Amino acid sequence: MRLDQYLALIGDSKVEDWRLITRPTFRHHFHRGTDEKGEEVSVEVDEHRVAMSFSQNIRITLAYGLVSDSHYRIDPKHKFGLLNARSEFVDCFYDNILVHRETVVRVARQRCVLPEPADWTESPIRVPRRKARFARLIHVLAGPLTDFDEYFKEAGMVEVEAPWP
Amino acid sequence: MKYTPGPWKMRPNGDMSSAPRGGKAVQVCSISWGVSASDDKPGNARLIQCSPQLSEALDEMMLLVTTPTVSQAILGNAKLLPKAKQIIENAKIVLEAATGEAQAVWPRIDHAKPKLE
Repeated sequence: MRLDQYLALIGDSKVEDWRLITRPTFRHHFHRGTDEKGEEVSVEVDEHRVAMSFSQNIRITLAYGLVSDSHYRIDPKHKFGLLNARSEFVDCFYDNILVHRETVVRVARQRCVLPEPADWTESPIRVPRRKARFARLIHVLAGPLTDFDEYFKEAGMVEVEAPWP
Repeated sequence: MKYTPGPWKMRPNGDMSSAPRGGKAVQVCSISWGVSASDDKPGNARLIQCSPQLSEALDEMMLLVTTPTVSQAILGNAKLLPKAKQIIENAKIVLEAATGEAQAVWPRIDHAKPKLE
């Protein structure tokens, strides 16, 4: 299977195609906790919020919620620029092998999972259709109980036909 | 309104910093314990450290409670309703105090859209 076929399968899937497995996900991430000077003060253990298996083909699994950047910055002129946001990984596995890592952004004080655009200052912000669908799926499956389309629109995002990834 | 993202960590000397994933620690504040009872300090420190996560978790919980499906389930249970109203109202007040933003009115029933998905 090619990567574009793999991601197309996910993007075109339905919510009911996925089985959610909550913590522990057994994919722990260990990283250094540092102080303000960057010196190591602790070892932190993190893990994804949830794992997902694709019922149509269980070779395909996802793991979502490992925080990439908890201080994620959106351009301050953007509507969501003055609210907390963080970026998170969606790790995509095939036969338990990591084949793609997508970064999504939880915007507006973590109230919606949106795709990470190439440029937050663009107007409108053009997002490849498949990438947008992917983020929507993650939002609906494991994000907060808000309306993805509403936030997508409020963020000034529009879907465009463009290759992804 | 912005705040320093969690998780926060407090050191015994009262220095509190944000320990972000994927970045260097940032100082949040330094707390002087003053005359507070020494037995309370660890508990107080834990509460303060967890404030960002508590606020975010409560926000998510309120989003769940204000969905039409859950609202309707609570409204349909006469035994649960009076207490549920108090709990939700209390949570709403706390969240408004923590975020400085007005929260959604409960119950929010949108008959045109009974479910989010």
